[in-house]
Amino acid sequence: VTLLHMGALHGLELPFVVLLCLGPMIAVVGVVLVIRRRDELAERDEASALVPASPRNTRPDERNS
Amino acid sequence: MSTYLLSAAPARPAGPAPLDQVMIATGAVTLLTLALGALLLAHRTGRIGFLDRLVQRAEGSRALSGAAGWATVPLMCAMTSLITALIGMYWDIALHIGVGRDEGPLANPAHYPIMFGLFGLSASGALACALPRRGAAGPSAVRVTREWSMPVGGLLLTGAGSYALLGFPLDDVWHRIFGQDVTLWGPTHLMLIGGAGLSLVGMAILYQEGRQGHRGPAGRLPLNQYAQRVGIMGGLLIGLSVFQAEYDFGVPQFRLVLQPLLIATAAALSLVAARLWVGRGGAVAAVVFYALVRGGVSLLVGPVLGEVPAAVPLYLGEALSVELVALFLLRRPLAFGVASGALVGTAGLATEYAWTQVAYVLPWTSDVLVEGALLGVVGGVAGGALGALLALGLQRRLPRRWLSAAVFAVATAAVAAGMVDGLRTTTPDDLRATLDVRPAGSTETTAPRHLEGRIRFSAPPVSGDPAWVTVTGWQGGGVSGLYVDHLKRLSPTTYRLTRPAPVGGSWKTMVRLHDGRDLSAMPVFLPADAAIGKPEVPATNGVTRAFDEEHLLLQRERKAGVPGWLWLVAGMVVLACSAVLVVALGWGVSRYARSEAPS
Repeated sequence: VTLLHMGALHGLELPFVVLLCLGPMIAVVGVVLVIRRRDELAERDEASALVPASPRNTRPDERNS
Repeated sequence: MSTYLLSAAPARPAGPAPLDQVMIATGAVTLLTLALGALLLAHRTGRIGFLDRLVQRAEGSRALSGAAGWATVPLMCAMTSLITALIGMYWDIALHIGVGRDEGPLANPAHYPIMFGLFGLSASGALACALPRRGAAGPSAVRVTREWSMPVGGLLLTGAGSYALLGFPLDDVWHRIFGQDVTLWGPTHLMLIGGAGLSLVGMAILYQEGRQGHRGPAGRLPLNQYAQRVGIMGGLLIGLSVFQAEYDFGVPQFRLVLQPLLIATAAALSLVAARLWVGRGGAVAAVVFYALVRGGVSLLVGPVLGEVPAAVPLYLGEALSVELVALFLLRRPLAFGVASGALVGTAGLATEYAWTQVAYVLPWTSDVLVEGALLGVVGGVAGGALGALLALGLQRRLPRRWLSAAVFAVATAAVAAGMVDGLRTTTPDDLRATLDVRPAGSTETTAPRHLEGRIRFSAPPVSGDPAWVTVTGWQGGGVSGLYVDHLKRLSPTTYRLTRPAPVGGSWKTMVRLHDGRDLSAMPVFLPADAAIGKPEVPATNGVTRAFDEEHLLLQRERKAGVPGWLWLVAGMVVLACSAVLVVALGWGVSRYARSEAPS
């Protein structure tokens, strides 16, 4: 029993509603998320490139600071 | 008594969308969304240079110079999409008037241009968000990643397009709950129109964001930039005018005094903004753009597609009013907006009064003069103030924050109050009428047939000069599917048809009365409708029927017995969505206006 037919969308209608209304918005948000992820990975790579691989490679003055 | 009727109309379904239509639509929008996402991602990650080359080409062209290509390319896409949706909207309205309700959300061919036009509008906003490279979108842009800031105009365009599109599926949900509401002013229909019309504000902001770093010589605008701004303000006038469409077609389901309110508000808002933002002659030029596009759509829908034609407001008197006030008050924009609006609501509407006598199916009468003029002044002044605020925002000259907010709130509330007043109607007490009719002309027995004769009322139906006393038939099929006959008064209680009225087939024919706040109708003929369980109401000579609220006849598909709280909740949901859109647009104008201008 569905209350006054409300919410009686067929399973196929749900993606239609979401995509039709929000398709371009979803596309933009998706691209933003991908770019942010890439930025995070790039930042992590940059950070790991700056961090010495092991204490043996670190200069004594850096080790004390 | 003789019954002049006839064959039953073919049944038209009145329920939600068939699944095959839903599957086709879902597949189409899925593909479009994926394609759009892939294109934008490839652009942002530098995998394709196509969009960058397109931007450069736009900046190199004479017509689009003066603003960054990342703004003009989406703007061109958005304008094309809007015109596509506009054609679909007027085609759709003409179909509903001439043919009747849809057999499903996608069974009506006019819904496709609306759907793809609005999707294109939202996609244009998404494109505008993705196109600008590092820092290009200026100080008002919204930063979303380390090197990516989105222009606020692009965000608003995406949002307005999505808001409009949201009306599409919600319309189907609305029909499930309340039945089909065959009126332009159904709440979800207003979302479609409002989102599309107000997207022009987002487009104007986007244009201004694209102008940063493209300062031309001081003084008058180059012709191409003048034309660009005229296109945006003319587009805003078109968008705000769509709300009047029921009056344009001659089947308004609301009081006639609302038409001057709508015309004055649309004209004052758009034309004051045009005069301030475009420059001398901007208001007149915006009306010329309006007449070309909107007139073209009317020609396309009427003579070319063969549907019911629509009239077009003239707006010339309003434009000249604005240009006249600009000669004296241009240096004080808010005062200019208010004074222009007042003149638009009086002198401008006087020209529309004359124009309606020539061009409209339902011309204005003395019945609407006083209240219509008052509402026209309210709409004009409020619209003029809002137009001045919009232009000041686009020029980064907004007044102090509290003053802007107060003007915005008061003007919006004034228009809303005018609408509420216009929407209040009454029904005459115990008014009945008797059909004194006989077959006209042909003696064929197949539907439709035509009747001639008189309508005898139980009491004088109107006092003085009414807004209208007509026999209206609609949904009879195609270009000739609308019939409106202004009845000739023979005595205070007897009126005569001036030409044969159609009955039978799918025609819904009724006597319509509008006098002051009274708005009522009495059926002459209504077809049997199995889909909604309604029997035929035959056109029987000598029958006496009572007048009732006319939406009971014009919106016969609406379900009875839906609880009042559900109407309230559904209305509040739509109102909340609309409020979010209006506030978002106000935020966008304010954000742009108060951001630091680049040196």
